[in-house]
Amino acid sequence: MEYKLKILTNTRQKSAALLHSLVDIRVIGKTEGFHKVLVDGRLYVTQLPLEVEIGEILIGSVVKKNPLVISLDSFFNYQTMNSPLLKKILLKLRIGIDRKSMDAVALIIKNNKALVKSKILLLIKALQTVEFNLTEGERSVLVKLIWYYDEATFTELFKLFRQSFDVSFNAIAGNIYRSWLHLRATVYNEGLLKALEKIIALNFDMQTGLEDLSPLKNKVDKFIDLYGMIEKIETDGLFKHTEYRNLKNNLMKYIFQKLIYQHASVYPEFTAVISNNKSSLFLFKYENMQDLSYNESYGINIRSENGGNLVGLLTGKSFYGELKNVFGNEELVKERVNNFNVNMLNTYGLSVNIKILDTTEEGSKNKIIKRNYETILAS
Amino acid sequence: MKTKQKYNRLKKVLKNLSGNLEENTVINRFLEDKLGKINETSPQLYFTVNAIKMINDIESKTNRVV
Repeated sequence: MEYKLKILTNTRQKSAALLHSLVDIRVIGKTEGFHKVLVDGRLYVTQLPLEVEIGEILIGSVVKKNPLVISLDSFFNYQTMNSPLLKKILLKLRIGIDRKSMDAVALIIKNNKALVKSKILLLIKALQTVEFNLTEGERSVLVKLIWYYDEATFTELFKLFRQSFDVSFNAIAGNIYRSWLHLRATVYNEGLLKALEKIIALNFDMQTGLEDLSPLKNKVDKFIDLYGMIEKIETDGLFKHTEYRNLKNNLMKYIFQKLIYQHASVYPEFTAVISNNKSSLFLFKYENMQDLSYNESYGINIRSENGGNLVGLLTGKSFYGELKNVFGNEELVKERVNNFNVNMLNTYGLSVNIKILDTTEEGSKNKIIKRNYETILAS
Repeated sequence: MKTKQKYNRLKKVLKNLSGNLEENTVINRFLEDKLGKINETSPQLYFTVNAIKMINDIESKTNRVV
């Protein structure tokens, strides 16, 4: 969503602001849906496209001089985001300049959110408060929560965030996967093993040719039930085992992280693939890209525990992406990718274009990371 | 299952998070709202399952192990 602030009237003075320059906008009054604002100290009347209180300060970028039009959340001329720009923004907002405040502003610009002083201060405080390192994706979730809710609501939700995000989603998925492997090896409880397996395992060895795809879907509902099942086993005194406590703890973190991620239109997920009687963990993530003006498009990142990694953008008609070749056998990879492309086109009418990245190629990992679907790689 | 039923079950899970969060009305409202909006089907499923198959196939053929 791009916010443009169009100045309706002014006090007959011409704007002195240069095209593409940064301006500060101070909200000094509201009357009948209109806002009185000071743009770099000059008085204007306008309709702000977002909810702000009197006294709020925003930073915008001049996109048109006559009439004066200011963009509030699109800094396309500042794609080469650098320290001088970030310092200039903080200086205009009268916020202390240090690494954390600069990181916060950079994060907001990356997430295409308006530079609203009170929100920035809240983000800086939140980033300072969390006791653990956050991935880029988790930091984006924080931004989206702060910009969507008022300060009081966010402050309460932040309590849930702090309790749930001390472990990354991928680590939680890995822990649940390992619990499943452990249950399989020890068979403490056949019923629990089968229930967990049904929820997470994608079995390619089934002879029907039709896999049950539910292990690829959101597991919140089923994990709530599974959590209750473990509690019952414990209550009945059948088992009190560390493995159960760990599994319960990870199911709980999964549930709350998923519900919070959902708010940010980010959908991390995992599945345990069974193939040729072997198992492996696959992590994947969808990110709704409508915020970036791609209609019905999803950023997709699929990664196996063995290093295979496909990253790209999926629309209703096409997929453009990159496959990291950690496998070595270039001919085989090319053939399988080609088969995949043909299958997608013939079966689903989906045009697929996958570039194979040689991991020995200089900077190939960085290329993938810059796609902005990086949380899976970064964790 | 209705959202309210799901949420009542979820409250038992919430109880086990420290900080008495189960009594927090803002958090309660947020969770109930999000529970009601879970999208159980995904338009990306067919793509994901085939992509996983492809990667898994390549890995098994190259005998790649961690």
